Amino acid sequence: MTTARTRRLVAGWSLGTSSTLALVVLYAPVVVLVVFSFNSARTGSRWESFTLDWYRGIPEDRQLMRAIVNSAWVALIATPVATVLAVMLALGLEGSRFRGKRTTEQVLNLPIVAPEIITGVSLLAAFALALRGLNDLLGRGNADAIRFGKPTILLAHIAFDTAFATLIVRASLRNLDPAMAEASLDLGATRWQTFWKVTLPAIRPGVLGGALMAFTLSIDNFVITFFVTGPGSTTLPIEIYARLRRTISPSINAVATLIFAASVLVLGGALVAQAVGSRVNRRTLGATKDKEN
Amino acid sequence: MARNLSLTMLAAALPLMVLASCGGDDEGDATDAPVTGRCGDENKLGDSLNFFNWADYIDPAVLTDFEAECGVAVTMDTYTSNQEMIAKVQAGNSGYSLVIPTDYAAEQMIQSDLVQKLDKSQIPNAKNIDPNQLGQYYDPDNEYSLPYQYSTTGIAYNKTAFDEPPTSWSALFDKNEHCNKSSLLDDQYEAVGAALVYLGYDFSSEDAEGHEKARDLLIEAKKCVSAFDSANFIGNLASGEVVIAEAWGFAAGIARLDNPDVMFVVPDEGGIMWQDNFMIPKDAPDAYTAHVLINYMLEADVGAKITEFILGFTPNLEAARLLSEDYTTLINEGGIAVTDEVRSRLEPSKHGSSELFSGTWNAVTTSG
Repeated sequence: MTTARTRRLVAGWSLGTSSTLALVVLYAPVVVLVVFSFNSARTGSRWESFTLDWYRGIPEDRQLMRAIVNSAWVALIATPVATVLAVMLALGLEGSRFRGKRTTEQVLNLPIVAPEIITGVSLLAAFALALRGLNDLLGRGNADAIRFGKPTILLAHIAFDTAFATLIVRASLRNLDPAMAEASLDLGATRWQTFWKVTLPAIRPGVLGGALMAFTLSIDNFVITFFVTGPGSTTLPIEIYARLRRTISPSINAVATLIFAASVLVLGGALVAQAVGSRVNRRTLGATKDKEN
Repeated sequence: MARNLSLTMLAAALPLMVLASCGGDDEGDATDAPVTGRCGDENKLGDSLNFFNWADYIDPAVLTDFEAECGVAVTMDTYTSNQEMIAKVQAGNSGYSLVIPTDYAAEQMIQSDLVQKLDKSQIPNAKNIDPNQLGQYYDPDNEYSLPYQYSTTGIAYNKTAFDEPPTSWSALFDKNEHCNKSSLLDDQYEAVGAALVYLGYDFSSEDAEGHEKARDLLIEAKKCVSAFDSANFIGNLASGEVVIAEAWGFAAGIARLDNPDVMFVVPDEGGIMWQDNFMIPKDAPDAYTAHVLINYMLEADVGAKITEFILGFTPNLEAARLLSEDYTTLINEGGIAVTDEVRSRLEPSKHGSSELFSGTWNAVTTSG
């Protein structure tokens, strides 16, 4: 009796310690970053005095602003496209059997399994080839050639975003009882209606999760983007990297703090949305149950 | 005088022009702007230009000024190594009309036929350039390149940590008295090159024995220095966490802005002078506008602005006259200035065989 209790105590204590440690390791650097974004010292790791100058400087920094806009543009377009593709792929792969299903799955997993640098280099080669062909075809010379830029970044991002988002959507589809869709079809709904009224609401957390994942991956991707970027399309991670080579500038700390705050907000928003969503679901379910009774 | 007046008017009109262009009234600007000779031929000048430059290597105001003055929107992307830039240009159709390679990279780009000859008639301000900085080994007749900025590699130190200021590379190698408070540059050429110079070889030497000795020296030095570091040492020097470091002259200048105890010296055994250059890729979309921008950056006032931002040295003698007292004091009192005596100890940053240097460097970084 006592041994079981001690064991439970020890287990609880060690779980507490290890998770606290993990949180400290994860968040201590972020805390340092946030604190130093308010430090008036330009260099080094000494605290001087409180300032908001680094934040005020952001809107005036054209290059930084351009990088932020580029990153947002890419992520905001890549995310919905990748999410729609992911839902379609997940439905196809989970709901049916067809020839080449395994191959499709393997191909889809490639961007996840392959080292990013390989994906980056191969995209560089492929895009270069495609662009050369395109420019020859359209007869464009040096002055007006189609080049690497935001479109190539976008294509690359959609590719890996889709792979990850599909994984998440598939997981939530797998947890869905196929009887629900069958019941809906039995009761006379079309496949289209079934998708919109039954399947999609049920897998919504998964779809939302997939979209969030895609957005996060897009916003902070460095390696692949590095290879497919062109004139004027520098994204935020690449800009930050370039600046860090000289000296860790406090303005970078300020930008990073803002990004961190934004992701906390997005994540918090998603959690709230999910909580509200499931409460609504429960209420509707409860209501139907009441009616049945 | 008339020219000065028009310049003053232009300066006064700039904010208005920026406002006007925000309103989308572009044509009005083009016709109203006085011809200053700084913008070349309006009819041939493009609307935009892609410029590939080192990170943090120009005062951003220069580009906004150029846009306001000449109506060319410059899109600047940045790189952090010459290799990175060459790779993009080599892939073809990079879209960049102006790049800034360092001397040895300029040599490589000329040899690989990646750049075009400059049309000097479009760059009248080239006459302002210090003859000392022209005709370097990579482009003896300056057919392909003109100097942008230059600086040196030597030793930065905190004077409060030394009774006698260091004058030899030994202070970073076998006689380092500040273990864990010192750093060497994290670069195969800079680190191995410094060791070679200390041992009496050339910076770019390919002597096998020299490389063996340099390797052993660096392996010993690695046990003492706190890091091989090309990024954080500026901040560390400023905060006093590092008191002696292999450093670039301009980097010592940046650290000195925050900490006046930081000094710079080109050691007795010798130091390196490196120079970054204007070059136009062969497949540049708009070579004419690139020429105009080069000429613009060689204007005295613009050149001075660039140098005061970077804290390097300007090869532009006219720009040098306009440098502020703050800059001159910082450079002179910090020991960063290249006097004739210092110049005699500097050699160009020619690069030896990359296989050999990376071999030596890998042996060092993977040791212990």
